[in-house]
Amino acid sequence: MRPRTPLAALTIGLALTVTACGGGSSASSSADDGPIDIGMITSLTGQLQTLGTEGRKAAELAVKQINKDGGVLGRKLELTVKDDKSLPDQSVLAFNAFKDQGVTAVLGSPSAGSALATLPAVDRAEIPYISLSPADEQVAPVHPYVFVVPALASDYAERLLQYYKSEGVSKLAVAYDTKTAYPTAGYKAMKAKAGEYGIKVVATEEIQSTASDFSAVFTHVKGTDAQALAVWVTGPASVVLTKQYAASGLDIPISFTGSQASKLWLDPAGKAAEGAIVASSIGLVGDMLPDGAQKKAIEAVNKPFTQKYNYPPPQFAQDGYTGVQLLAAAIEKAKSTDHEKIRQAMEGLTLATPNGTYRYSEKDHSGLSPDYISVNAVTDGRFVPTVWSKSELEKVAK
Amino acid sequence: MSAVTSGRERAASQPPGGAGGTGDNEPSDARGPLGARFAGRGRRAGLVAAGAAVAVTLALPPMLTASQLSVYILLALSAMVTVGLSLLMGYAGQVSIGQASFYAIGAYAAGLLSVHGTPPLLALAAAPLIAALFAAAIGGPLLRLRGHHLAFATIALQLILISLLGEADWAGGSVGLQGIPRLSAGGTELGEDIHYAYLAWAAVAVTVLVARNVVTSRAGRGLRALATSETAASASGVPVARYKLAVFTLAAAFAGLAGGIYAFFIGYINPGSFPVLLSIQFLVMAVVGGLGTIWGALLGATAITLIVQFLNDLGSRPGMPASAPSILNYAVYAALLILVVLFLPRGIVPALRDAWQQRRIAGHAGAGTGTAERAEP
Repeated sequence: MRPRTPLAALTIGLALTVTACGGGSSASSSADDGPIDIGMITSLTGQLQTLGTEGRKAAELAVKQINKDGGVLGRKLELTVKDDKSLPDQSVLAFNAFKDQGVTAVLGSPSAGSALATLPAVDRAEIPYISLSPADEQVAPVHPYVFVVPALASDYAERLLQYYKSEGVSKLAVAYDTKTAYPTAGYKAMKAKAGEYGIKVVATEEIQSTASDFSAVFTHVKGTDAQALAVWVTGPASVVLTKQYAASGLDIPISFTGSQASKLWLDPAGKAAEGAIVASSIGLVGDMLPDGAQKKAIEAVNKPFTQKYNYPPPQFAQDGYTGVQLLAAAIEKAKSTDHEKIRQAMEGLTLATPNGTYRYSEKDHSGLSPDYISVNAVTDGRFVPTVWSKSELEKVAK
Repeated sequence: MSAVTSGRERAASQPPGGAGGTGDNEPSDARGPLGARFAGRGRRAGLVAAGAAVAVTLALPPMLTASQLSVYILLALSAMVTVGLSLLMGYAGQVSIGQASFYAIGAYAAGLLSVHGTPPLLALAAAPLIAALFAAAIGGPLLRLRGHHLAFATIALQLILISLLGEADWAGGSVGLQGIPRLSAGGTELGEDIHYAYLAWAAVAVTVLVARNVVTSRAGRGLRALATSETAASASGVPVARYKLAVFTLAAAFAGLAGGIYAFFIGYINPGSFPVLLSIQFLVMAVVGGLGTIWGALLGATAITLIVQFLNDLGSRPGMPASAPSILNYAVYAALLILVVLFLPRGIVPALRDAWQQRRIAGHAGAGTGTAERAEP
């Protein structure tokens, strides 16, 4: 006597699947005069909520600006956003939804896990995928339809090594978070490339972003002859680590990466951050660059963003903005919304953006060289390029 | 931990014939002649309805778009884990808030084996086995704990596992395991999502059948007895520890099989794919559907998956404020769950079943009396 009702309910439930999930295949962008559909997978909830939300704001801003200037190929851009909740499988779901929708291209999640989970689907669907995640694994080996926007962890590693070389550092200690992909990739690249710059990694400290006491790291490093400490870590742990470094009495300079290049680290770290070296995208120090094409490209996003939200765009926002710009330029260059033609156009694309000048090629789908990374010292609560970095940036900022 | 209590109360408050969602072929004397007649009719109706459900399940995939199809597949995988969890919690009275650990173990087993050249089908077959072996190994000491302590231990188990996987270079570490091939058998590759949909639902059918057979077996009665009172059950000759371990292992095998299919379907896994939140979601599915009922597990998985996708979709619609995704995914979702627990504390399926029985009894009010006691809430 029991099963009948539940079964009927289940049947209805399953039938609802058809109607309830996903918007179904609506207008495809193949119509020649309608809007060009672009999908954006981003993390609006979950661990990377902050990154995703900022990226979305700036991407929407870029679309608005482009549409105001007449759109692309005379057509408007239309951005649809989906939340991957910082979870890999949700990103695959979102990508499949965009495939149904027949989008021209997809901007990918800032989460490395999401991006890597989505790549097999991208390879099969052959839809251009502009990734906003900095994971090295996306471009080595090259996936034909995948192009990366943020500078890779290995680019940051190389830039910091260049800086250390200029400072005469030959013995380096490295601390990295073993459980997160980005710091691990950065550490590996640093270790592999140190020799090229005449630098020896004399101490490796494994840390965890969930820890709340890092004093052992500083004690260990004190016992070595390291001349500097490079830290690869993401999230709130970096604030704790910075404060404990300041209190530890360790007298060698400490360096951080793009993960710390925002107010989220700078404000809570406060005085403890003074003097710390932080590598960042060039866009973060736009107002300190000489006048020129690069400064102008940065102002194009900084001014309207600040006007609307009352704070300057963080790195993740500039990535989102840049992603839309790169895509629009590729579509314009391809003179088509055909997936394969956009892919070809991307591979030969050179474009000045707030992040620097991208030069994608058949073999290089990351496009941005370490030259566009600024090495800053925290001075009076601001990121200020070091003397070396300033002269380096001037070379590329014209 | 109201889930535990409600599961136990449920089992305790029901006559022996009522605790199972399906099965129970022997009509209980308590029902009287009318009850038996209902049971006969109900079984026939149940078969028809089950047939209809199977037909709909099989007919759906070709009609779904790519995104709906992937939701459909993930739904099937959640349903498999939830069936196991519902069995574990509803029948054996054991709580697990770490069920995603076995999902992860299945996924990693299948992924690692296939990446290292094991034929994918064998790797998939190994997934539930390895998850079950793992459960059997740790189940001994773990199941000595009860209630909250067991719940905490299962969470700890998952945290340890995620931690270890993140450190293990041989498993891809924090970057994750890439390049898992698609499933193939005898040279034919399951390249399309629709193949995975059928595979996943076939696996659901297997888990449902296995679960149903366990429930209706002699051991199933023993299980229900131990959920009500371990002391009484063991006094009546039920081998309590062995039964508990067996169900724990079986639930792990279900989760492991689901994880194996997940690995081949997505083609990439990392420790972040299996957060503790996922375990909690499985728990919520089991509780919302109704603990100790197989249909409840299926319905709970379906309802929660659809609600989550709907809220997700709604939150990122154009014109929604930037804070909408968080509000919908956290606050509204939580509010819905609170409402379910408040108004349907035993879950959807038992509530529906009660309502249905009330109606039938009302219809036959003049005819019989035997089922009156079953109608008591």
